[in-house]
Amino acid sequence: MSDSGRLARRVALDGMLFALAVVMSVVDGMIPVPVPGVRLGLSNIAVMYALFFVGRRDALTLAALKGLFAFVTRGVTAGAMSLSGGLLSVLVMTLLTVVFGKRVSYTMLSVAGALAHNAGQMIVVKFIYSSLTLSAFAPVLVISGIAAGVATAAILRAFLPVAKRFGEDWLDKNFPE
Amino acid sequence: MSRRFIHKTDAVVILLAAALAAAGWLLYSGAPDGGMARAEIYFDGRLIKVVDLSEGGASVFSIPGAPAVVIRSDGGGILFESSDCPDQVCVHTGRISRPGAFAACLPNKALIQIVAADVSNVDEPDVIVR
Repeated sequence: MSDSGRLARRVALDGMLFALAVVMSVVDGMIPVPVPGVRLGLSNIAVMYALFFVGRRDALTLAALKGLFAFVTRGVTAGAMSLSGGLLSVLVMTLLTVVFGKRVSYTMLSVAGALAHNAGQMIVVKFIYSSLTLSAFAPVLVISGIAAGVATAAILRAFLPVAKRFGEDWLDKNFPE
Repeated sequence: MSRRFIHKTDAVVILLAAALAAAGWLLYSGAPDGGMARAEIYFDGRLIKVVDLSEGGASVFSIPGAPAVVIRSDGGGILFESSDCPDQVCVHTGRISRPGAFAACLPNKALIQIVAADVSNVDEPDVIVR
């Protein structure tokens, strides 16, 4: 496999994952959640898939693309929140896999990623509203982060048998140079 | 060895964290209601209006920098009545009254925050000596 061939496949795979993330975030917006402003974070399934089965760079690229998409469609604030949450989420999940290797479970990674996503978004909110006291809201963010993390991990788990087939191994086998 | 979906220890850690957060939430919910509180309204990071919630009078007003954002206070509580933002998160947040609660309209950079009457974010002298 030449380098340019591998790169082309990777770009194509990342593009498909990004399209999937966009669709998931639209579906996400349709799901009613008891707390206003809180979302399930379905599009993070695409990011997690990229991180676990494709590569760290691809996961970071997806987080950046999601931020850019939010910026274009929903404005500067939404873009900054998406980017900050997405990047922090990927960084925390990457750190956990680097430190603990395969010992850290999908659920733990997903929950940590969701909590980091919330934290990253709150950093932006705090930056915009410096006078805002977030301590009273913190428990809500932790509980919703845990719930969202467990839910997205369960969905990822359901798709795992299919998902594994479409990673780099699958590409190597089906689209050899 | 492939990655596991979940470990027993994970379940314990996650449940413990959730329980701690729930305890924090209950502790906060048990705090006194808006009797002795005031609402601070911010636009673009600046404090533009303070509504004393203990006074009980009702009022409806919009934010000067964002006229489409309408806020209603009903004595004891305050809420975003309407806004032109696409997500309507601020309106769906509903009425807030407890110190620490807030409602935000991120697209319009508008924020309502409830603070206890004895806590201040406003730069004002504590004592005036004559």
